[in-house]
Amino acid sequence: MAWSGSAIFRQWIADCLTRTQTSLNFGTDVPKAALYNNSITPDNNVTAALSAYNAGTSQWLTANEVSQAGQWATGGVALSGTSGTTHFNDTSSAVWYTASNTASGSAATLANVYGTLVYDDTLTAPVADQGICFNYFGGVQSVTSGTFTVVWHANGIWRITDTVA
Amino acid sequence: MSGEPLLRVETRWSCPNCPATDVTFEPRPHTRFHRCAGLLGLDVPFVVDGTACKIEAVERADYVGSDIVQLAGDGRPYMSVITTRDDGQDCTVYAPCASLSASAGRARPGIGALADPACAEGGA
Repeated sequence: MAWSGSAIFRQWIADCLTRTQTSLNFGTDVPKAALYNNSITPDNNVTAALSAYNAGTSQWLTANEVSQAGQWATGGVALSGTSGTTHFNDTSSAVWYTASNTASGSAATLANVYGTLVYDDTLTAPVADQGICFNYFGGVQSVTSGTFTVVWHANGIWRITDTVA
Repeated sequence: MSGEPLLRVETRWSCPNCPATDVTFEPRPHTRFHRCAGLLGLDVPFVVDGTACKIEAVERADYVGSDIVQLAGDGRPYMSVITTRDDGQDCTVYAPCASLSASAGRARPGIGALADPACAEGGA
């Protein structure tokens, strides 16, 4: 198995609704995007602990991460809000989460990149660095002595659409 | 004496695929993007004016499935744009949106995902 799609972690939504992450603050928490190779099979139904960055037995271990010091560091690159630190948006029929383009340094050499884990780097309890979602790039990506940029979709990094069918 | 710096960095940008240009005065490393008329209308990075390079769009390699992907002017899904220079290669990835849909739809016979009675019309 390998990457096959993008998804929001179910436990992230459940924990938000049940206010399990008492310190969660969409307005000030710093999310990060870490890059991964194709040795993993992302699962949106795992527990909070197994969605977290570099947590014990999760798939999101540094062994599977693609990084380069000073370019796209281990642990990922912090996401910049499109308006200050704000990532969370609430519009008609949708709530969504987005960021400005996320870029490496200008001398990055990264290979075998398939997707990214977006996690809350500020959150410490009940699980540190809990995963928010994962986004599959649709195939293998690489950069050589250049800039690796992730352009987030116009609909956001993740989006919940709420409609009356 | 004004607070204007004596020297300011001016960067002129251009695109090998279309006539668009831009000028920035940002001293920190940065990249400008534009909606490229010469490359299917995708958001494509400029290159520093005078850079010998080619910029190509790469179609998504895997099936789309339920991902919300970036579609170009030709209606096809593109996963990245590669800028190939003499001394390296940049990569701009179009990340799909991770989505979840919540709708008050009617339960339809034969649709397994809606087979839970709680999901039927009037359910919880």
